[in-house]
Amino acid sequence: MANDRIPAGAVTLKQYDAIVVGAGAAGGIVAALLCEAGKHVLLLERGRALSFEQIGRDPLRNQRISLYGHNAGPDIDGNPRVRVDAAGLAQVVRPHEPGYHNNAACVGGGTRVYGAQAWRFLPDDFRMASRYGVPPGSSLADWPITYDELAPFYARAEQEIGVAGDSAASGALWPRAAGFPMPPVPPTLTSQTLRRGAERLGWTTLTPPLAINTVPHADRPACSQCVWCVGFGCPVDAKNGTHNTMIPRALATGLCELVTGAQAGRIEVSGRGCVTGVSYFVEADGSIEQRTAEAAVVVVSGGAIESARLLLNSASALHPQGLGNEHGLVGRNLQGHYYPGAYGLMEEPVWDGVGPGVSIATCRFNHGNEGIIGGGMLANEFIKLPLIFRRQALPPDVPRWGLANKQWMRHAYPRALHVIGPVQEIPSPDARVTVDPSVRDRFGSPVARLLGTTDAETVRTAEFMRARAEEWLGASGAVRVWSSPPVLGLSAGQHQAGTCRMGGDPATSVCDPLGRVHGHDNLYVIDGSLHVTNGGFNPALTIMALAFRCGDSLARR
Amino acid sequence: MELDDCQIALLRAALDRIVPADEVRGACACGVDRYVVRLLATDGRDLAPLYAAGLEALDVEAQARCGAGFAALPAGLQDLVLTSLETGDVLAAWAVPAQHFFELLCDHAAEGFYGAAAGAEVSWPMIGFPLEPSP
Repeated sequence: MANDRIPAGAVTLKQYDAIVVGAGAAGGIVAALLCEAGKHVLLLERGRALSFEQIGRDPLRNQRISLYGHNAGPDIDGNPRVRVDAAGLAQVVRPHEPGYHNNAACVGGGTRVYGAQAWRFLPDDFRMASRYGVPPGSSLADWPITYDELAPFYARAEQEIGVAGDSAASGALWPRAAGFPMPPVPPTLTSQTLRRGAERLGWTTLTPPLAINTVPHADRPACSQCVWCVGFGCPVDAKNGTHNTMIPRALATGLCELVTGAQAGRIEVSGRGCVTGVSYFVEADGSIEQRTAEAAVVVVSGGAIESARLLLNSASALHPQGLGNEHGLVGRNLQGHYYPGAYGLMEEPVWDGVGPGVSIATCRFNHGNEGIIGGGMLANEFIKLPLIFRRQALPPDVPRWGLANKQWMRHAYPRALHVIGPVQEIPSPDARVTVDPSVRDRFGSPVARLLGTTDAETVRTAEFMRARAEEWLGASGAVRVWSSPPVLGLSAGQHQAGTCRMGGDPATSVCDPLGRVHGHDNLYVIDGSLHVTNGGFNPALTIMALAFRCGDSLARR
Repeated sequence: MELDDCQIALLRAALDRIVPADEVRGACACGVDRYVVRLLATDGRDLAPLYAAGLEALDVEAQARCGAGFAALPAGLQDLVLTSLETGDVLAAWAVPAQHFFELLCDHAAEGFYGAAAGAEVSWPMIGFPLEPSP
């Protein structure tokens, strides 16, 4: 089990070299780099270390469909958020409900259960404003770093987390010095079908890179190709996240104290406004205890929503708006990914039961689309749980009940293709995280309040990508194709990013290019909050690369 | 609150039309009725009053439309009554929105048949999804 790899905790210290808040994709990496450089680190995680059995395989309560609960945290009770809709109506939402925009809360964060797509952003993803101009009212901007500056750290993430991909195909699209450490997932009946369609259209395709062991790697076995990958734990520990790579490395140094069930309440500052540590809550034997730890450096890695929330909840006399928020930027530019796509029904079955399922993608439409800002990657979907297929894949003319529906399911499930992809969003400063002092979590901290939508340009890009998905399915021989139009909304969820954007100018950014919060010597945000824009790709590898880059610099301090 | 025996009988009759038997078993033979009853006592408890009112109204609708209670009607007429809920074209006075109630029935039937363990034993082999988790 994954949590067997986490040895007993190190000696408890009240004073640390660093406190890292959040043991997810970024926090796990930063903690490991600091500990391997000889620093004593307190790694706080509000969730728990979850075993495969604890995550389970409940088709109604998981990361993909969370009707009555979910499987990777946070607890349903005591952890609300507030969602304000387009009409200005505020609603309290629980973690598994729509509008909460949950990712996960456990050791490893989202990487404990993700589908593990491990894409680099493209060079132009770092310079969206220079390439496309800035739509009025949007907050589209360039990153303060280039792809070339991040490339060595993408390579580190691919090596040290463990990514399997097609090095030659990737090298044709990305400047890259070395190949992937593992070969790509093999073709499937679906990828072969879609590949033929792409060839008819003249589209180049490639196998999506995945943070999955396609061969035995790092003393763990190869993927068993089960049908449960995305949204669940891996039964053979072949899916790579920070819980089974970097966090065990941090613990092995003996310098990392990992405290789970520990929720940061506020970042503590001295009378002079200097960050001194973190106060946090733990629950033991039914009673809540508040503790304060001091550290020379505090790193916030709670994900875009919780990191912004913590900074905003850390107001003091010298920082009445919260930390890093002198220009009102903390929490703004919240982004995720719209996921437009289309379904196709094939004449013959394309089901081969070979997981994880995602096996072919095209990057042809990430950039250079006439009249469109950016674009996105398109790929086939992971293998879909039957209930999800029943709820989401029904064409409008198929009855939702009776023999016709049952016969549809029997016929269509093995013959359906689903092509989707993350669209590069045009961020809006009005899509944001604030805090709501009238709604508090079980520890008494004001909860995150989510409001706004992406810029409306995103809908145009999403509509364009939906049409490409339909085109691909048609060219692949689908006898019918159907899809729903994208709708303007707030995007965050499992790909949440953008709320503490990086930049050189404190008037227009929260953090510098190494994650240091402007105006502070020893406060960092290192996670998806830093993303200025969020690419047309799953963001996990970029979050990890930034963590390697920022963490590497911090370790040398 | 819990559904009474009459309401449960109506629920079972409705579910067996929403997921009827064909080459494989239908809803109640796969425990979908037990799934819904359990749901209404636990995670879905807020919906129990709506279900009770909806099932009662379903019975009245059957009387008004076909001259007999819903459970006593032949399958074809049961489908006719359910279709009137689906379209909202109801004859009786409904205390709760008929279409919304019908959508809930369809959604919960799907959860029980394609999601809950007893239903999955039948529905997953039907569509070709592997039943046993891989080792």
